[in-house]
Amino acid sequence: MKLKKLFSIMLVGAMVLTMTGCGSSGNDAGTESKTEESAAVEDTAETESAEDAGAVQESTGTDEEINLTFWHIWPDADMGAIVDSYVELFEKEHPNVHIESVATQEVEYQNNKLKVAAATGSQGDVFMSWGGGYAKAYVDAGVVLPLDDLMDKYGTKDELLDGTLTYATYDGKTYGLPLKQWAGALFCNEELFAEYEVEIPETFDELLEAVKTFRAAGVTPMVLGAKDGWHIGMIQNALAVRTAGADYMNLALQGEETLDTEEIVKSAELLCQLNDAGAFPDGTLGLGSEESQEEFYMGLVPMYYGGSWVSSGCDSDENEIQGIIKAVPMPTVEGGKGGINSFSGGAIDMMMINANTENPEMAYEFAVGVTKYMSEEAYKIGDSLPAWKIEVDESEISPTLRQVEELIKNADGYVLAWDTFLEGAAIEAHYELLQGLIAGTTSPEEFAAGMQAAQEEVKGNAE
Amino acid sequence: MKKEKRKLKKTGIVTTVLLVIVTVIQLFPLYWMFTFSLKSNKEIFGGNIIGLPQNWEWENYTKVFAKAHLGRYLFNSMVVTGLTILFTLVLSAMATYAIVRLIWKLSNVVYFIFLTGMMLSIHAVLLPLFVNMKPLLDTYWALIIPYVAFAMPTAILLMTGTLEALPKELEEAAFIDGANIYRVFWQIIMPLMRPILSTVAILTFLSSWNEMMLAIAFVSGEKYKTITVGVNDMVGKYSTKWGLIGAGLTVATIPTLVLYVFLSKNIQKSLAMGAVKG
Amino acid sequence: MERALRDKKAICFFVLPALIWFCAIALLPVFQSAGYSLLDWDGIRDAKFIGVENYIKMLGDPLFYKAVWNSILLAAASVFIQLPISMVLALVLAGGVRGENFYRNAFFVPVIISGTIIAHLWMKIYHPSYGLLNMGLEALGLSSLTREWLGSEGTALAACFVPMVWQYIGYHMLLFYSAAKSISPEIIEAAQVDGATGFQTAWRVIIPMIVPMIKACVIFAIIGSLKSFDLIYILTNGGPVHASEVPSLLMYKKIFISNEYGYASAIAIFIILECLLFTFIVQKIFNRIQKE
Repeated sequence: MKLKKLFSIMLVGAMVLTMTGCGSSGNDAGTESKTEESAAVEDTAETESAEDAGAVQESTGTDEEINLTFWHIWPDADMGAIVDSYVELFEKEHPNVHIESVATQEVEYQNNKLKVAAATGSQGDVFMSWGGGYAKAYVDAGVVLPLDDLMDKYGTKDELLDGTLTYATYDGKTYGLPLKQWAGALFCNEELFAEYEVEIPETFDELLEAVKTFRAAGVTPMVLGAKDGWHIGMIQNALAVRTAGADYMNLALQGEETLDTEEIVKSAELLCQLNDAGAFPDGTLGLGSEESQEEFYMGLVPMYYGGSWVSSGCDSDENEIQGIIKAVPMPTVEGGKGGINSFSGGAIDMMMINANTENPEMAYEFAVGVTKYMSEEAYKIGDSLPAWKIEVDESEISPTLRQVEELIKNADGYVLAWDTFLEGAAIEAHYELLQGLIAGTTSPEEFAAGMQAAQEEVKGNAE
Repeated sequence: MKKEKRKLKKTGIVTTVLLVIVTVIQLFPLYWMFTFSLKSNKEIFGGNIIGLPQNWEWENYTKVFAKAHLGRYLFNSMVVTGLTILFTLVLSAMATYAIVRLIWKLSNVVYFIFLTGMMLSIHAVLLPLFVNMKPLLDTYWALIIPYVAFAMPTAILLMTGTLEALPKELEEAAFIDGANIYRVFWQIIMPLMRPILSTVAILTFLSSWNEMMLAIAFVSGEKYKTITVGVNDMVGKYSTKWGLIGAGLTVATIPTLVLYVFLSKNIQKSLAMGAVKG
Repeated sequence: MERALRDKKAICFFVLPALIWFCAIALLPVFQSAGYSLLDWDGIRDAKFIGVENYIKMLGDPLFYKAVWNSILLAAASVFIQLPISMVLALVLAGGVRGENFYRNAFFVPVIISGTIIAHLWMKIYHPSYGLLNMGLEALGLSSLTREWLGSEGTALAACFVPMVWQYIGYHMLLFYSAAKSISPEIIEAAQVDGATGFQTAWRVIIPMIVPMIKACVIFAIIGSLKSFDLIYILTNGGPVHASEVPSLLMYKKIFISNEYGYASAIAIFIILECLLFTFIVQKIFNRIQKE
């Protein structure tokens, strides 16, 4: 009896604590950081808005009330505050416009919320989406607004960096505003490399040697969370850029060349060689990408091949590896067709506009504004490279991302991650085949043949 | 008092040991969740996995609470869950009464129709349901209506089992005294079913409180977001930081624990009553 | 009284609100899904009628059989491992022990926690390097027993089963418990006066009287297993290499990742039929038991 009482008292106590705790501290923290943010934003924005004024004046001729919904994927505190501050700013500039932000967790948003809503064209007026294979169905179904006329009117294309609209373009029309670009790199922990007297690899053979040395010393050499198929894809896709070359890969992924070539078999084979040499964590097939990268951020794993977004983690003061990370290109493969200057990457994250919106012009204006703004913020925190011609003080940019930027200075070709390029069933097939490679149940030849078959089936269905 | 004593005598050492072991197994994850919510990754990766935290990182909690409108979410969840329970109990009890006690040809067919509801999986009907519910999206009803529909089958199955087992004498006596069927239902049947109603209430509470799929798809914006979605937003972002995940999970769990303790008191009461009357 | 119980108006009053609500919201979409299952459709673009081709594809897919088999294994584990444990606990508690309410609440705790949270928690328990399980085994000097629980084909399925069985022990315990508590004390006392031991009372008096509840629990356990999704989705996402694939997960991937809405609908319809079949079998078995 006593025990039970104690138990319930404890629970109630804990409840009261958290309830009151959340009531006061939660709100305070929220509003505080918000006002701070927006104050900071206003300063920079005022100078900026002078330049934009010309464009703004044209469109805000009317005073009618306009309501816009904005669907995005940043429900967390940090990014959420940045979005909110821009929304606030925009509403101040356009007093007749009210914007309602709808934030949803990325995975649920991508798989569930946006798909369900887009089936009836009822997604937000301005909504976050992804170019390439992901939005193709939406574009075909006519729920996305083509932006070419508006882009011409506002001269938006001149503000964008070259090549950033490639994956927003379907049948010659543009449907998305690129939010950011990414590029893949091998992030190496120099401290660990020094400690175990290993050279940072420049060729695949050196990489393999490094892996073996680390493994022999009881250190997990590379990050990989193979439960997430895309995480394996990052490495294999990058190896394919090395073996088959960027130009060929782009054609093959579009379906104009085949995927079952010797070079692509080779890329899978190299992945298997790494796996056999013990490059990846124990139990990698049961680990998610986020779980596995944590050990890298804690300074326990020397290598992580990933997108430029890894930079933000490298520079974050929550982690243990500030200033000891060196970003290098994916090592080259002997006899491969892709040189050191071709990369995985591109612009795939997009803002799009609902074809059913009642205020396409205002939606467009907001979409351009918020995209540019987020692009810059993401650049500063080291999440991604900008897609817009913006100027940011170098000191504000994450140092690791600066390294990646140096690497791609002379880039001569980019290939997107396959899973963003491909469509529907081919994506699932890709993940499955990759996991098969890691588990040892799929051979490199089966991988290439399987990818080609999946690609043919999807393309065949679409026609 | 007398009863109490007799019961206590029977609790042997073996039984007690068994019960304590099971308790530890069932409660351990809760303890563990709470302790790792107060640790940093460094500590966990450094080997302190089971023990109490060396540095109590309460800031994990402040971080979790940083932005989200937890109060609002909690309120939304309570409205949705409360109304769902109310509708589920009343409607299911009525249908159960008709199926078990009233005499009509189609009663078995209707019972069977409700039963099929248990086999439905929410993912399979998500898209058609979204289209059908379109006028009600972004209201509490967008969640309550489907939650009730999906809770009724379980409720009816449980209630028919109980009602079938209840003796009919009390009802018969009431009819002889001249009560009409509606009064018999409210004044005889409902009180008799109280134990099972509490049980159903808890199960309905859990399924609607923890539901996420519809809560994400059918409701947009902060205004109607439920606590489960809110916590998922937080946890998703920090999914590499064990401490922050732990804090998010703990925060999501505490209200359900407290509400359960609250509801379970009612269960005890009604269980006792049910036992006496039954 | 007989006449009152045949009153058409009363019948309509009691049954129609629930029936209409249920049919309009839960059942109608099933028929819509059945319609979709005959289409080659990605959920958004134009659909093409293809008859039963999706079903033919499904029945020719070895992965589908694997998923179904896994879910049946899970159902068996629930009925033959989970339910007996729940029953023993319920009977011990209902028989009256010191701290009855505390234990009942404690056992129920895992049920209260959402599946998502349970899954995250067990993911940490199974973590190959820092998980509770492997650390525990090492501490006990059983390093040879440590495994990559979720990452190897041999253990992933079982590793998913354990938390599922564990979580719902309390659920069935509560149902058995409330059924046992509804039995009037006189009946039990009468048995005890006759000199029956605790075990005999449980076996001969209580269990026969709660057979309807046992039937309900068996049905819940089987259907719950056949539809299982949440925990596996987070723990392994069906992997590695489909070792822990189940039908609901397969359906989810077809809808939301590969956009094969028609095919996914066929799987959905199959799951419903499969559940109906098992429910029917359970009903038959219990009808026979109840007659005896």
